[in-house]
Amino acid sequence: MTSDRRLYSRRQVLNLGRKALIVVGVGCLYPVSRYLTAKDNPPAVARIVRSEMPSSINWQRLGQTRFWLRQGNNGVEAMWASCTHLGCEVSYDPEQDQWLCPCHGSRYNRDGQPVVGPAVSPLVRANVNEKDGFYLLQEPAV
Amino acid sequence: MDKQGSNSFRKHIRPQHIRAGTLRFRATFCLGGLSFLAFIVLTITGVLLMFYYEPGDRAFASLSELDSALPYGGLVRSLHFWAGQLMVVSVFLHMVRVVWSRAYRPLRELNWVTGVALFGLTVILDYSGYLLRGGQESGAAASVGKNLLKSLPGGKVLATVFFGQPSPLNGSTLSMFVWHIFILAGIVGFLQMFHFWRIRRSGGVRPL
Amino acid sequence: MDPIKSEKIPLIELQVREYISTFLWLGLLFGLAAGVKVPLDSSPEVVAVSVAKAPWVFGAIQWLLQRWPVWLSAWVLPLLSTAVLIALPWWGRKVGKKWAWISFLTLSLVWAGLTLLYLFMG
Repeated sequence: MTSDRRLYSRRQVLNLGRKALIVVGVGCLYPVSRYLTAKDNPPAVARIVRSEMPSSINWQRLGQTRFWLRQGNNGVEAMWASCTHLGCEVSYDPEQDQWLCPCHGSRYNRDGQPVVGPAVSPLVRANVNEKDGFYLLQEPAV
Repeated sequence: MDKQGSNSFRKHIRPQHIRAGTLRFRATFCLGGLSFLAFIVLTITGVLLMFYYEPGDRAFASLSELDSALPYGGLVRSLHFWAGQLMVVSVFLHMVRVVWSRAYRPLRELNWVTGVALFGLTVILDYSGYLLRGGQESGAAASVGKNLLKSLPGGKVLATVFFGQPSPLNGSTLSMFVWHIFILAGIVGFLQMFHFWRIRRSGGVRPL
Repeated sequence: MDPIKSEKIPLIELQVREYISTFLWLGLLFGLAAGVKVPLDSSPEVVAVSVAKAPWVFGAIQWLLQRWPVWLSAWVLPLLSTAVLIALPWWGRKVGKKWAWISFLTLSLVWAGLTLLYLFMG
């Protein structure tokens, strides 16, 4: 054994170094996760001019979004076309008068109530706000 | 021991003599070796694909182009796909053989656990590769996967870190691309080397 | 150990066999690549498909998801099976080689069987 009269032995330095690395490693987790999730999708929104609102009582899709619109009894209704089972995009089939999910076979009736399949919750309506001649559609909060 | 020749590295990583019993085909069916061979093919074809594949919105378009317009593009993609599926199957069969020949007994427990980890990672690599195809099915697969992860406590962060922002019609994202070609493939490569080293260290493949 | 089995053989014997296996497997791979067309899935540009099949590796979980609640099909059953698999060297020693093999085989056949069920019965 060396007879240095140092403040710390080599073993202590190594031990300290190892612990310091672990602390730094764990400390990095928070900034790294903020970095990697920075561009997370904000809730979807869409805007449509009143005059372009579909006037059909059948569900019509708005472009490439997950918003489907129809004229209901009390004005415009919007559906958020996400299966309540595991989030796949559902689409309305006018021939079968049902919403169909391609992933596990869930089906909903035209008002969004589950008819068949692993899904148990009804489809969620999207929020519709009217403002200055525009309709503002918002993805429903989870 | 040896002079510093180019042969010495090769001699270092392979044993000079092996037990006669390990030569029997039925000892291993070459399954472990074939899994590694599949990994090599996947790496080479994967790098070739990287020259043309564009992750994200252009995924499907760049793949169709590669498939139809590029000379041998379809072949490279086919080889990558089939080597991938063969790797999952051969890793699984290798596991069955290992259990049958009881090669998990002490002192090989660590290597067994490493092997199970490799199996899991291989399956995840298959899944992430599937997402990178960029078709509608990949979008659905990504939706399901992301929602499954989100259902865990603290899962929202995990889900985004792994999946990025897939669209419902396209599961290919830059994040998934990084996981597939670099992080997961890198871990698998490293674990394989560790796996082989441990086999060598515990005396090589034992005849039954 | 059997003296014949433990006799030492030069590496080249193994290498020769490895070369042969390699080329046989590569032949199989190229045969598959050239013979069976790998589909490209449905383009994101066309009309939404009505059924999106999952990748076959998760076929077993997909099959379960179609019938049983999510927490069971996607989390509990797979994680439990994985835990059993990882712990094999330990519980295998307790139950003996015959039962270790039977249990493992049963578990594997169940998962493989579900996968095949999904592949061929949708």
